[in-house]
Amino acid sequence: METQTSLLSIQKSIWDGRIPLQIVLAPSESRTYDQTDPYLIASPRVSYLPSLLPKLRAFFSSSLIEPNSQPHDGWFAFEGVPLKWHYPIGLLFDLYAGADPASKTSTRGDDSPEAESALPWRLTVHFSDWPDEDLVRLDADGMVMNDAFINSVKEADFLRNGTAKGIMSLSKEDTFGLWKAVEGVDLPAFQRISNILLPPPSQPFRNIPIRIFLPLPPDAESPSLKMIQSPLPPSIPTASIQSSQLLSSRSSPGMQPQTVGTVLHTLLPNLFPSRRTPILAKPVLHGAVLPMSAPIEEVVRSSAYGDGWAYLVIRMMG
Amino acid sequence: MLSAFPVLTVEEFDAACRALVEMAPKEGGWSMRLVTTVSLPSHASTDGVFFGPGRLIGVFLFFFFFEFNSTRQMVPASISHNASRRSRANNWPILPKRLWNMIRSAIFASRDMSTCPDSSPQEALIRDPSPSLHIDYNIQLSPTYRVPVLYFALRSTHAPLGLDAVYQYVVPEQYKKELKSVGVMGGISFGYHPDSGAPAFFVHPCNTANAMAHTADAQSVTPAIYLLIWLGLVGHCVNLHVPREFFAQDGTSPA
Repeated sequence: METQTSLLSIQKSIWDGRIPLQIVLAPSESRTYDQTDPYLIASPRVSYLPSLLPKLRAFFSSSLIEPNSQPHDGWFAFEGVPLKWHYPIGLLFDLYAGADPASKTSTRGDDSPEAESALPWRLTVHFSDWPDEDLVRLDADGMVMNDAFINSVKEADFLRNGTAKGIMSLSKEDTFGLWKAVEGVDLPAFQRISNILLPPPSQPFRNIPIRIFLPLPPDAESPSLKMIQSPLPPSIPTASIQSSQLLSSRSSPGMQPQTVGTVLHTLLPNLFPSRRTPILAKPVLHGAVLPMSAPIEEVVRSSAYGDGWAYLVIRMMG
Repeated sequence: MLSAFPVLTVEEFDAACRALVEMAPKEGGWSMRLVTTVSLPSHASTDGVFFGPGRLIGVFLFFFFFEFNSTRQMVPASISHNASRRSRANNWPILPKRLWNMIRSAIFASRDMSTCPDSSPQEALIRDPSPSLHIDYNIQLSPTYRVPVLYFALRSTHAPLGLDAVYQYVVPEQYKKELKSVGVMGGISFGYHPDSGAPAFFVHPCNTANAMAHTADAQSVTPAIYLLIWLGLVGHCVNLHVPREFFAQDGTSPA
């Protein structure tokens, strides 16, 4: 019960988490070129960029050279890279902003200049010249976004249960309500519906919905993201040596909880030669370094994005 | 016999892709290519079967070149050359070399062209005056559902095409209603190709395992037959028909 309470409090902190954004209109689309005032907003990590478009379109309307563009013509770029709108803002920030992730060992006030300069995160919004090679177009009714979100929810649900029955049997209202709750960052409404989907805490997930993003090579010309996904059961057979320390009361005999460290060591042995200590690289989730000892089921139960997935970003150390 | 039927393991999918390419008829204006995680091959040829280092992640099926005609029906571009419309479902159109080069150019337009032999994509596209549509299909194994997923991209000499165009030009009439009735936007979504990250359409895989369980049984299917049956189930609704030649090979009939 105590675990459940702390998982919920972590979830609340994550949903409260916001990233300060400074959004400028693409100079080529502005009557005043680069003299247009930027738009500033603290945007929830779990939300999606297109939800900002109606406000941005209104804010920049007097500056737009092309006055007939619609909010759903809008797209975002960071340093020239079009940002995939189906990823939550928090993930995009962890992937691209280059900010130093928070960790237990880093002390406040001792921030390096690089960390300082990552905030606010400076994005460019465009309302013309949709990059069709990179981004799926949005529609006026938001159905394309809703569809992408629900597809992602379905996959997470399938991994958790081994079937797609949960999300398939969810009422139409609740299916739409889940998306509305995430779009509106309404945690109570989200929890009501997501509790219908999630197996109860006493019943372990079949597989854990985690996606791992690899570091982008610094010289990549077209930074296409490399992502890893593999079936990850919540428990694994006890490894001979560390069994005694890692065996927790929740696991069956001979099994130990799968941790962030065991996953990374198994999938990326070169980057994570140790299961317990990050040596060459570190896993980042919601802007923070994830403890290697964290059981992955608890990570997902507390810290998944609205679509049910935990998106880990691997950052090189040093 | 498949170990995890009705789903596939990575190894079985790998074997299925290789077998499919082996079984493919070598004649005709189309081609398949195996793709590895390492890098895309630097050149293509009409019987292009590629093996490279790294793990196999899918098979590309290259073919089909369509022109819009006045009734907005799609017909293979090669109809006027040889293939009759009647046999379209069973025979691949045989494309003249010039058309093939254009297809190839379209496929590789966004990639490294410098090593692509005798190709000049811009020139080829400019020379072609009629609005045309090229579809390239790609099969990948879903890491979530562990079944094959059919991805496809539309390349048009006109404006970029969305889901409306898929239903208008790609989905045969008899499947339209059924496909549109499921999910938020129907049984086809516009998402991202898992390997290239480029926008691509895909047919939803969440019911594939069920459909396979009802169509085949674990005892009698090899990985290749699994993939062919799956292509038969999923391909038709997006105008991808398994050519008869696949089944004509020494006793590997899926029947």
